[in-house]
Amino acid sequence: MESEDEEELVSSDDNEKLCDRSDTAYVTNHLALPASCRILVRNGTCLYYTEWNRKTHLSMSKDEEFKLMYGMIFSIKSFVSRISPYDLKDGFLNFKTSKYKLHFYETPSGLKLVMNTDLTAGNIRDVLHQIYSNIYVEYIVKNPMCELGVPIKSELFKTKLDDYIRGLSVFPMKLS
Amino acid sequence: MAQLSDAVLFEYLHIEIVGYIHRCADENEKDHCIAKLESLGFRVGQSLVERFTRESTRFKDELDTMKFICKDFWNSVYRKQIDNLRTNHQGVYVLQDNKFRFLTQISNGKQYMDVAPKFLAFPCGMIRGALANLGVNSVVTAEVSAMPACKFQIQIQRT
Repeated sequence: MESEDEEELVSSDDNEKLCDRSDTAYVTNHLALPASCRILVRNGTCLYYTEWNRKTHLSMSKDEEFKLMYGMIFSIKSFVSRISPYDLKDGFLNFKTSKYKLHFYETPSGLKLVMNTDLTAGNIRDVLHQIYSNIYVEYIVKNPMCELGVPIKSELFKTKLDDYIRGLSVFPMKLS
Repeated sequence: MAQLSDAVLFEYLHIEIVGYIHRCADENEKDHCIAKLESLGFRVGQSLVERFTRESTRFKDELDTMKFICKDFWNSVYRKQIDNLRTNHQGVYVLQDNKFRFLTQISNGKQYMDVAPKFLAFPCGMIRGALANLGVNSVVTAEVSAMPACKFQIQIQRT
């Protein structure tokens, strides 16, 4: 089942040097399950964006989209933790509209991963965690040519991420 | 698990050493960076091979020494063996590693190939140091045609 329109938030800014861990690496995948994937860095710069099935595009520029995304994530996170009637375990996980679902995962180091999928996706926190530990840490952190906090340019990372997402069982076979 | 974390420590440290040497070099000393890394590796290789061959017997001949480097030495340092060893039986050996540990995370093809030599200087030195301490004088060079595969060429110096 495909959703009729999926919105993707993707933004890639140039990243600035970070001095404190507040950037978010924002990787959002829109899975057509996945449709778009963004990695945001702590200070709101987007390290990486990719999309698979994005159907509609927003009218604003990528930069604006990223800033919007970062601001929204930041606000929702703090809102969720403040309004919670219980002690928070994980905090903000995802939100759902009638057309798409946005998943969020933040690492202790401040890297934020955002993924947009359609409504059939369940909890893909594990997927985001795998992306972080098996792909980001392996191919970006361990790559001497990739500075942390800088938009990702490594081809290897792109390939591995793409292969991983396409290999997931939730990804539709007929994806072009 | 403990072994895995040791390996990661070594990889990160090596990356930092390469970066440090290059950062500290003046403009006109850039060429010496590779040589410095190589001599660092030489000393490390010498000591490593003392430890690794504590229990083993003397090697029969040069080829045996080379096989030791390809199998045991490579295994202990990089957790894998050399994939291909070739020789012309006249003192030139070519060791081919199809997934060299220091290069696998950098790139899978052509990207970043120009910086690969920086990260191969230390391994070359290690091989040279190991061989030197086993009684074989040599000159070791490395070349990369497609990441992450690389070839180490060892030329034995007979005096």
